[in-house]
Amino acid sequence: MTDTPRPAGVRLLGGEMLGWTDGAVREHGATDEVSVDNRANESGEQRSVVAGGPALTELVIRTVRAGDRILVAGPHTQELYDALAERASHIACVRRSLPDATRLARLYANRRDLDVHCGGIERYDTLGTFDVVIALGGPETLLSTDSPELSWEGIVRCLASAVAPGGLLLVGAENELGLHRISGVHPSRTHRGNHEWAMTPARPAHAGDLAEILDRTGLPLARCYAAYPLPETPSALLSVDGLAAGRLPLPGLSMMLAAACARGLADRPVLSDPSRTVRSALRAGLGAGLAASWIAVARRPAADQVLPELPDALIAEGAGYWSTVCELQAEGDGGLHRRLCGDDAATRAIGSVVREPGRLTGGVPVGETLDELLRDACERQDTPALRRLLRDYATWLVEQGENGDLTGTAVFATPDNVIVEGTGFSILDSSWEWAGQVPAQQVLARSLRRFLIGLVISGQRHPWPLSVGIDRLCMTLHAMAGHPAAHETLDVGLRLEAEVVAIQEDLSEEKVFEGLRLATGMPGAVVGHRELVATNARLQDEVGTLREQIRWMDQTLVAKEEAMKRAGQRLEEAKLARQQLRAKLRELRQQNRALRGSIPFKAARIISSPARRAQRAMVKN
Amino acid sequence: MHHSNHFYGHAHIFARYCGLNANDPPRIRGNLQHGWNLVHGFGFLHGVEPGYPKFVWSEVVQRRAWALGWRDYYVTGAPWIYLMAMEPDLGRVPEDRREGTIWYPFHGWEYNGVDGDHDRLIAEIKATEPGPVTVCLYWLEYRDERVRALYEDAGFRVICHGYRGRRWRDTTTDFLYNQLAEMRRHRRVASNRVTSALLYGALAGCEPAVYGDPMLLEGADPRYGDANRGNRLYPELLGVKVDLEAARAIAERELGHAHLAPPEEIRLLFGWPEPAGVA
Repeated sequence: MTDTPRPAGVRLLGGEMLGWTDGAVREHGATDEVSVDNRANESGEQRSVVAGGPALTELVIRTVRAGDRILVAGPHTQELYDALAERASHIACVRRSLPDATRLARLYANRRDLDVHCGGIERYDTLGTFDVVIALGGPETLLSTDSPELSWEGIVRCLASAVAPGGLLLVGAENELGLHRISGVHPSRTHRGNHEWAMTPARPAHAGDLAEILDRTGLPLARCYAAYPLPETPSALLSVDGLAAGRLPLPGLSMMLAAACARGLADRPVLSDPSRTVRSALRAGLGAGLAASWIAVARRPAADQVLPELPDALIAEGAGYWSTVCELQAEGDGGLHRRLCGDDAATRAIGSVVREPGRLTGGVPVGETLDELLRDACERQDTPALRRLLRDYATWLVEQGENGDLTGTAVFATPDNVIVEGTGFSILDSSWEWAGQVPAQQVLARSLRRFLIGLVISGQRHPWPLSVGIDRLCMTLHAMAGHPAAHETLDVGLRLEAEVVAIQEDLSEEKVFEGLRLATGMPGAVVGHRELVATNARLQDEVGTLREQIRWMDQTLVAKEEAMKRAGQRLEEAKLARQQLRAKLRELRQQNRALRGSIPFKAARIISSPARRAQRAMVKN
Repeated sequence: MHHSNHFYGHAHIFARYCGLNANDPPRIRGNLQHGWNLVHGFGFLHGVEPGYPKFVWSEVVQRRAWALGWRDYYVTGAPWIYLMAMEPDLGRVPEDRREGTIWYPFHGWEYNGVDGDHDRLIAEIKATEPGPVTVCLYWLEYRDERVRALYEDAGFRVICHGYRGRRWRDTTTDFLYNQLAEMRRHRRVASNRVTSALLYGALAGCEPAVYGDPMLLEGADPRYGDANRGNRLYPELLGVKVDLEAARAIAERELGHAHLAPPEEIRLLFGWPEPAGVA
């Protein structure tokens, strides 16, 4: 081992992959110069195999004790290495890609307790064993092009041999039937992109299979998590046992899981929005079966083994600066207790949006969200129920403030963040608040708009005619809620929603505003093939409706034109008649004048003049 | 197609295997891997024709290639396995009469000379090999009187299997036949690096050994990896005496022993006609 070369601080094991990286960005990957027929990037999903993210990092933190010796096999995020480096006494990292290994060695060049090894995992000859062995990206990321065709179990055996008695193995296993695969539009291996290169030994078919494999390698399972929505970077980890035993209350959980799935799979082509599928899966008891991967915590038995306390679930949410990780623990009475992980409970604020992560700790209200109930009612075309829900909600919302203004958490009491408990409402995540006062009508307008856009984008059935348009639909909801609103109210509601979302997602407010205004997009909305089909149908219907309207208008126009033509004709005729009459009049006047100037007329006037005078005198008297 | 298809008489071997004229092999619609390497089976300077398939020795080459962005591979196995299938007895002597070592010093090629100490290597060979030694030089070094004299003066039998060929000309078409015949009369095959010849020898029943200064290729392209890459990959082959079973397994893997295809399949792959006389 001592004479193994270590260029750039990397110990070369053999079979190092030279022109390869497991990172999402192919910094040192195949270049055009090399690739005569490189079809990478033409199609296919650019999915990183780098494992990590806040939820997995939290799990790792829970399993590593100060001073442990750790082996990290395969690509993991820098945050995860950092978290380990804070705790462990020694870290050995094995990577198959030489550029990746070199980068890692450079990154931790000042850490003498961190070794980087490069090559196929089967070549890693450990001098000792480790307290924790971590391979969360799955064993298949550990084989290099030059590795022998090991089975999945064979690779796990390599890892297991490095686990000390009493030590733990954390390994991820992608589920071939996972929600990410079911909802994905790309075949799992298209044999096109470079990034799709992999030796893919048959993976465990289900969580039970995984447990058996680990058993056979002498590492019984201590805990297994169903991971959603992506195998390597899940944001939700749910105890498989907890799901199977019905210990985890589903309504509260399903909302969080649906949000995690929507967020994780947004911005990537999918067959259908997985957030609704996952709710159904949970209800059907398929929570573990449809997970993107299973994360196993296995242990090598020892007499004095103390297992770490692991939560029933870990949920990471929020983008970037706003992100938090919480653990969930089922309570005996069917309740669910949430606790913020880590020690960063400090207030976070951008603009008027404030987050107090500490408020996440506490009991989670158990029930359906208002959003879900409203959607169900829309699906059933149950307008009385919609009116009732909207009226109750609006009344409750307005009551949260004073003098018609709202502040704090109430501004964030949107239907997707409100749990309906019997006839009352409560806020699911009360960590968000608004600094300042907002008219309740504006908050209501924001809430209703947010619900409506989600509904329309999802392509779901609803009771309203298609020709109505988004703004008029919004007005209808306001009217149903008993708070009729004018265009101005709608606009300020829309503006508030755009402002909040832009701050939460770190996006341009104008872009968000446009997407929301036209209901063409909303951050976090998954646009899958099914949604596209639904949108296509909706647009076809809209086009059909508009065509009908145009045809009718066309016909009406033609009829009116003809009527106008006829009227015009009559007018022309009348004009002509008038001219003729005038001409006749002129002729008569001329005849009249000619008659008055004639000698017989004048003679007659002279003869009759005394009689006319007498007549005038008689009239005077 | 690229003239490397004819190197070492590879195309000729396939033509004979397919029942066609071995002296005038038809044009292969694709590129043949012509030597063992640790990347995609071809040299980085090799102008592989785009759009045509690449016929390579082993699955592992196909995998390495994919990871480097290359596609359209088909594993046929090395021409060596086809030659061995056609020539089960060429040069064969009874096992107990095989003697000595055939030694292949790592060679350069037209564009990169080799930088290494031949004298030190000769001393090492002398100190190591128990029996008579045949040193097989690559045609470049064989033509170099100075290098040849070094090995001859050391008392070794110095041979060359022939000229690789260039632009379809002057190819020693029975290069591999010569090599097979030589190997079958030697007990051992040795080199200072893992090379095609070492793998051929292991499959031809020689006991392989890798030792001595691995020598450096002048101005070697770093994309092939460092000089020790092959040795690091197969530590089982390193040393004066190695595990024969492990060595044979490696040779079978790298030469695609399990991939020997029937002549009909090769003809279809290469775009070759039916042999004359076949209806």
